[in-house]
Amino acid sequence: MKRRDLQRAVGWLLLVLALLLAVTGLGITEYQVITAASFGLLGKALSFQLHSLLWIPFLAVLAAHLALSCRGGKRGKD
Amino acid sequence: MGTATVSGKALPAAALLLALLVTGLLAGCLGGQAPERLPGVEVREYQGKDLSSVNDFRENSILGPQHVNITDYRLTIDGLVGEPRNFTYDEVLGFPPYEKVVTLSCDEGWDATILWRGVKVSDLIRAAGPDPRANTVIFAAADGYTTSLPLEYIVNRDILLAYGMNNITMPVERGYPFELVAEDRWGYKWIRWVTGIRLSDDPSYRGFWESRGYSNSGALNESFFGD
Repeated sequence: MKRRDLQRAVGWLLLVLALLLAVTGLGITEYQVITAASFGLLGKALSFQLHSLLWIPFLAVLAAHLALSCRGGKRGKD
Repeated sequence: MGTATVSGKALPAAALLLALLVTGLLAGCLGGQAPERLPGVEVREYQGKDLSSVNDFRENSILGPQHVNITDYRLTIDGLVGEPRNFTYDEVLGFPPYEKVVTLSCDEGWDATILWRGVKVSDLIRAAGPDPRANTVIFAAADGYTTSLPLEYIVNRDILLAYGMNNITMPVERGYPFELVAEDRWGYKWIRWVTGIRLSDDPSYRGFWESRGYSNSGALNESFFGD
């Protein structure tokens, strides 16, 4: 896989994780709306459990995204 | 002489005026309007401790605030009791009142410290004659919400069923007429709009959030997930 493809994949993964973090966060504080909008699939309890698990992969992917971007940036300047 | 004549007329007039004044005052004090009771003012400090406001709560109930009709309201106490009871709002307020400053900690990450005023749940239970087999108290609310707590905790910790917050009547949004002050328990144990108290011998009973994965004990020093 080329570096550019990897960067793009990591970027998309980061976006998905960020959105999931936001949605599950809202699933805690605005659970009435999120539960109804997800047809009962994402309740408060599930939101809590997902939200408290997601920060680990989110930080890992964020670190990967930053590392790839920094290295890519340096190469670009050279 | 002229002066004497004037004084002679002025004296009865002054006496009449005085009599009218006294009569008026007495009428005002004895037979007049009773003083109008104005709404209480929320206190924000108690014995040197800062209190949160009754407006410092997030609305997170399952069906939104419940508007309980207080004339029809009954607090039911049943289950493992000798004599099931149905108390009106005023009858509950007839029990000895107690006050406590307790902090509600919500699992959503916020908290509020309030001066709670209410009656002891144990007093209400005692009035119904609890069965010795009872070990669990199941609370039900006007919106269908339920939760449970051990009877031992309710009795030993003098848990209150509150009708006042910070010296004012409990607002509708907070659970009027009654909210349980489940101290040292997560916010989902603080059931609002309480309509029923049932004594049970089933400690495994799970209420609304407990049956959706929340801890049955709800203890603040433990995670609110599990058991």
